[in-house]
Amino acid sequence: MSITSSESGWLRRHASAYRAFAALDFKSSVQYRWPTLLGMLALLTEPVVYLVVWTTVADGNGGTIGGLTAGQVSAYYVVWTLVRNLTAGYAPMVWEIRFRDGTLADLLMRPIHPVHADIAGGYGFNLIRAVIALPQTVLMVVLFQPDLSPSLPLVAVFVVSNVLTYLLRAILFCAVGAIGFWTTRVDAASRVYLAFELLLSGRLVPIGFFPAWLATTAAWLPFRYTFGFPIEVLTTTMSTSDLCTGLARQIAWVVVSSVALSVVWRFAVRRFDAVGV
Amino acid sequence: MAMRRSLTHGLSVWAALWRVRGLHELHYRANLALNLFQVLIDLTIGVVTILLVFGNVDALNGWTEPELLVVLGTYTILDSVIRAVVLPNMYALVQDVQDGAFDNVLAMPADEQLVVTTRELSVWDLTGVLIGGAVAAFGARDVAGVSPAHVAGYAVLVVTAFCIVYGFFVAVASLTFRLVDLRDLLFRLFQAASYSGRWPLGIYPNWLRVTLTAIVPIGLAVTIPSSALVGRMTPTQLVLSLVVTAVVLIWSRWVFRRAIRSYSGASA
Repeated sequence: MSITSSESGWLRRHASAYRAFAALDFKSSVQYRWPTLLGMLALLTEPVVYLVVWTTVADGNGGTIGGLTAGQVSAYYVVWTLVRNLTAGYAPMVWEIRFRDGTLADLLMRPIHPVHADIAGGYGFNLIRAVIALPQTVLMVVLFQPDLSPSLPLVAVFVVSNVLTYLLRAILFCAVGAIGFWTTRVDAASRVYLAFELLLSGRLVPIGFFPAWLATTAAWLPFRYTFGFPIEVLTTTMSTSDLCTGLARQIAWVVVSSVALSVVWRFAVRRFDAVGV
Repeated sequence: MAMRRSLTHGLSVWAALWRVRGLHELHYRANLALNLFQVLIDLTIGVVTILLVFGNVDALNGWTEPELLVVLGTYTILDSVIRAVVLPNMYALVQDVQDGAFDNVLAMPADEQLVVTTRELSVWDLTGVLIGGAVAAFGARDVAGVSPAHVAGYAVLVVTAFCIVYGFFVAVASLTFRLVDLRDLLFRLFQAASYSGRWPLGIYPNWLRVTLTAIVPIGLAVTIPSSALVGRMTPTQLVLSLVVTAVVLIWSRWVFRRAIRSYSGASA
């Protein structure tokens, strides 16, 4: 099967748009590097708090919790920090600002779906975060002595899984943001979504700490693939078949959420009435 | 006499700004249900976490399950007030400095800090105050030796806890006059507050206790009233916490006053 000229034109147009959006957000992140750096320091609070709480619980419980030793719990939250920094994107709340100040009108005028700007822009913004995240991770390794020694193939799966995590999160954030076409305010809906993500993605606690019924439910929902799965790849013992199933589910959720977003978008965009312009 | 007049004027400005915001928020009544739902989900997350912890141990560095419920309730109260009052106002300040609309604040015949910190109000978020209070009361029911004096102390110290968090966010948001776009930082700090505020400071090792308090003092703010309610606070600590509150408020005022001197008007 060969690529037709119209398809290659589409690809070229999108690739050049992605480069431009990524460069724009990268430059913006460099311009505002101090707030970015301070924000990333503040972000360390979350994994450190979880790490201390759960390693304390593991210590008080004979050295393990949910099948993980205290060292593995430390490893989970060290990798957690890396994933959090590398998969951050435009939160759904950004959509509320776009609705309220009318900047969405500009985005809709472009000959490309706004989700592409978010995906590429978030990637550009994350480049500087990736640079800062490395010493941050080293600091956590020194402070908390995690039990972490992944093989090279697992690191490769981790990288692929991280990219899929980032894509899935960006698409789902865009879908939640699209609620604003009906409500203008996205804040409350966004918080409800993020609360579910916090609980069911492995961000608050590793899914293995849950009772079996909740862990099984979480495995079938998209949230685990927006955060926890890449961490589990590096920090738990997974068979090849589990790794493949996990990656396949991530890809499936990316496809399902993309189709769902395009369907919702078709109805949503008809309701746009340019608030604030 | 002059001070009394200025206080009355300040209160009337505050009331007028909140009346306008209240009317504005009434347009978005669906947000009441969503906010209520979100507070309940947040609480569920907090309770699930506590249950997971106490499914494995009897106490977390000396803190028992009912005591941690008091902490969770106190955190929910503070979180709601931050969402309702502090964060929307700080975001508005950053936006104003970025697009130059802060000129309008300077032109108002009222104290700039008062206007900047009271003109936004997300009314529906305040539902969390009632729910958090109920959770704290539920937890306190199972703590031995809680007296009316403890409850009165708790009520006063919740206000001082809010003052500590308010002062901290005002001081951080003042950086916007130099660094301009602080929305991401404010959001990250608020998130840091959400995660560290659910646990008392006493569960952390000393170095982390100091570090977390320096990054965002909500752990301290939540721990102060919670400790008073469960009878862990000594009179010395009580006095010290009142002194800390006064120092934070004076310091944040000083930082804000200094910061606005460097504002040059982006739209001018």
